[in-house]
Amino acid sequence: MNAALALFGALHPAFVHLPLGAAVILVLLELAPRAGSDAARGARRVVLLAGAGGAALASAAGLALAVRSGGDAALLADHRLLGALAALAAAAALAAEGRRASALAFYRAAVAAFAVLSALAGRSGGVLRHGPEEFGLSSLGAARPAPGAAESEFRSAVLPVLERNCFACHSAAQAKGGLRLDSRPATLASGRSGRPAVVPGDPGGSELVRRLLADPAGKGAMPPPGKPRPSDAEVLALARWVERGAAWAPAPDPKAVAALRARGAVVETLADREPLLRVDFRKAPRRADEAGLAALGPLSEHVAWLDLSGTAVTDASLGRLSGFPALTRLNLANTAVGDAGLAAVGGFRGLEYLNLYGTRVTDAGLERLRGLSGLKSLYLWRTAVTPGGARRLAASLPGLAVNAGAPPAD
Amino acid sequence: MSPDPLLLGRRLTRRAFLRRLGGGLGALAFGSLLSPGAARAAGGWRGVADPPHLVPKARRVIWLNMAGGPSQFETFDNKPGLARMDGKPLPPSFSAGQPLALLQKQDLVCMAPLYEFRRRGQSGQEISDLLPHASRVADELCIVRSMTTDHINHDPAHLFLSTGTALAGSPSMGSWVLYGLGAETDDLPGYVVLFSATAGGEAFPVSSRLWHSGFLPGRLQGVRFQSRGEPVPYLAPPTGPTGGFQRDVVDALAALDRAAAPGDPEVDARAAAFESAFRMQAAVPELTDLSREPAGVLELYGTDGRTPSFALNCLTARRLAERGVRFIQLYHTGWDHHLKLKPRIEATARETDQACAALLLDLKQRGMLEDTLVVWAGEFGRTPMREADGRDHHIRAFSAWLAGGGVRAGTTVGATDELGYHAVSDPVHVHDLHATMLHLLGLDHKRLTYRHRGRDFRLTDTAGTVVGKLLA
Repeated sequence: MNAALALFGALHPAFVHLPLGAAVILVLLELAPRAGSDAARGARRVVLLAGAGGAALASAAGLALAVRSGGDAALLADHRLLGALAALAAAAALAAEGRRASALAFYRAAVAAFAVLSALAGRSGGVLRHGPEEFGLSSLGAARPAPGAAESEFRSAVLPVLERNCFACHSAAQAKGGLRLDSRPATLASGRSGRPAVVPGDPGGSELVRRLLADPAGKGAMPPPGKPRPSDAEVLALARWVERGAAWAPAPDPKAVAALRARGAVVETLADREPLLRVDFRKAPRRADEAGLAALGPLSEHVAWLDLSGTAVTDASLGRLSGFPALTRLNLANTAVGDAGLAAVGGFRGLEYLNLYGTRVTDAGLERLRGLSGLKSLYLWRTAVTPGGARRLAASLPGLAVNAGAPPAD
Repeated sequence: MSPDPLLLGRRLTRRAFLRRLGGGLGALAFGSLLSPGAARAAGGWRGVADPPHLVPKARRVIWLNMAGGPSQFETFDNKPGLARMDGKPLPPSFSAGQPLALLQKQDLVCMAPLYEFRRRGQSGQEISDLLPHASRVADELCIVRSMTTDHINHDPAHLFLSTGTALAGSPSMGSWVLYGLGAETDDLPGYVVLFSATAGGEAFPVSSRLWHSGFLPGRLQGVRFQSRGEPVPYLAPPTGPTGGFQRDVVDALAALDRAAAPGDPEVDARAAAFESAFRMQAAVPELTDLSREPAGVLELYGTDGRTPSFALNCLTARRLAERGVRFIQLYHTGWDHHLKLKPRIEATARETDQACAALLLDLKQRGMLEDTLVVWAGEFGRTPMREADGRDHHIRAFSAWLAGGGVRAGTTVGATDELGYHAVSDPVHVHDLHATMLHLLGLDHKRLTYRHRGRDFRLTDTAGTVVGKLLA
């Protein structure tokens, strides 16, 4: 008997779809232009019988199924109530159907109730069966984590762990083992081990995760013995973050990207799972004016490479830009930019590459670049900069290579 | 069959579908009938790797293809051991079971290198006296002494270097790169081929298969610019029709073509070719007008700006790179020195050495060397054994260099045995070179695939490893 009951219960998912479909058809029949015709009446009687019968069958099978199921009791109670009410509404519609015209309003109300209640019952059943992520109304259109999710995850679950456990030895202050963990590019590079600390998407291949998971007493485990260790949950959160692409910044706002493209700029994402942007105005050189550059503003966190070479950019329009912490490469070659514009450029603290070839800059302007401690290459061919001026800047910025043009042939 | 990324969002016509199904030969035959060397230009094509798999270090490639197979012993692989063996028989332990080209069934006799090697630049890389200009830019070069390839004759070896397989019908590397990354300019083809031949000595024909798009869509094919006369034939606008009229004609043709065969990649290539030709009418004269080159630049390359030469092609290559061309492939024939090695290699070196160095210096002074990958390589190298007064083809070890975007400048990678016969440390096979070049461009060679004949094809076939030692 129990086995038969179980089998009957297991058929609940098979039965429930019949009343759902029937309810939809009944509503459609009432909305159809010829709802009162004999043909429509005949059809609705058959469909109604099937719907009411199916609802009764599904309710009964559902009761049998619920005897054996665990799950969320409150949700189950809701589902049971909604299912029973839907079956009742179907029965009421069946009672009103085929009577005098005065019962038509009652019939229609009952059909409407049947449709709404069976839909609600269907949804709650779906949540019971498949979980809220796939079936909850709240998650409609958001089945995948939003692009910004990884970022907030970084701020809340990853950065604090890195700050507490790693930065003391692996940051700008001291990079033990040749490794820094205080920026995304640094984590993607390798320390002395030769293996990258973070491989986006691959926690198993990420040295950071491997060392955190290693036997604390063993060689190479991190943090080293005696230092506070992150909890297992924290390490797991870190591994998940790596798996999702190890994002440090939120994804750029698609509207801002579209607005910038509308200004004629080419905007490209630097790489898969890398929220940084390359922006290039070379195809629309005249549009790199104040309005064009202003469109960069909302993306200041994301613009990593900016190519304004050969464009109409001026000192004034450049002066409107500030911030841009992610900007590493800036190309201003063959523009009217001069010393005044370099005041703004001196504020882009992350710059590694700066191309000023064919601009109006002079030695005086170079003084404004002294704060760019990360600058690695500076191009000054065909400018008024003197060898002495270039040397003075190079002397104050270790690691900087200045190119002032090809040496003359021997 | 996974959806063809080039057809996503379009209707797959019965015709296109059937051809996909029927595959390679049919498509090739059809393509060449429809467009004898015309289905080209990838303008507007964004690439399948958008965004790229990895952050790109280089955004374009200039491939200096030293056709014929330059001798490593006279250029980049210093072998004092070979000098000591001059005139003596090659020990059979080196050559046993190894393939030979023209030296088959002959006595194998060692031939001493012809030039002194010296340490150059701050990096102290060894380069021979044959290449004084390369020596000046030694600190920019990453010299690979341990290149290897699979094919010992020119044509298959070139095809292998260009397409990753010696079988005709596969896409060239430039087509793969365009397929992955798309073109940066709509005014010029995304993939341009320039050709120069040595003034004297041996030369051999270089076939258009080396820049063919193979089974990839025709619009990804390389476009060869002529070095004599107009770079692109018949580009000068006819007298009569105005630009506006031409614009209308091109648009109307494209609309008709695409209405008749929506989503057909070959018809698409045809329309793209018309569009590209229309735009090139303005872009190519601007490209070849050297009047605004700063003083000293032509001298740097060693060109008068008119006479067709490798030097002029190098200058054009830089101008193409500036204008957003993604892949620029230069061929200079004249490195096939079976005979008269000394006079002939000196002639070829004179034709190429200064311009190669100039290209690097010029890219650098414009800040472009950081994101331009320059590769100097032939299809193979030459034997340590003499063939009369020259050297035969050799595939077990040869030399090449890389420079620019993401390359570890000022290093020499790999080594050969004491006679330079075999690459004995860090061998870099052609597949490895391809994998590394794609890596520098932000493409994972294992993920850049195209479904054809029922399987996912790659440039690197089923091989290839990114060579970490070449990377900065």
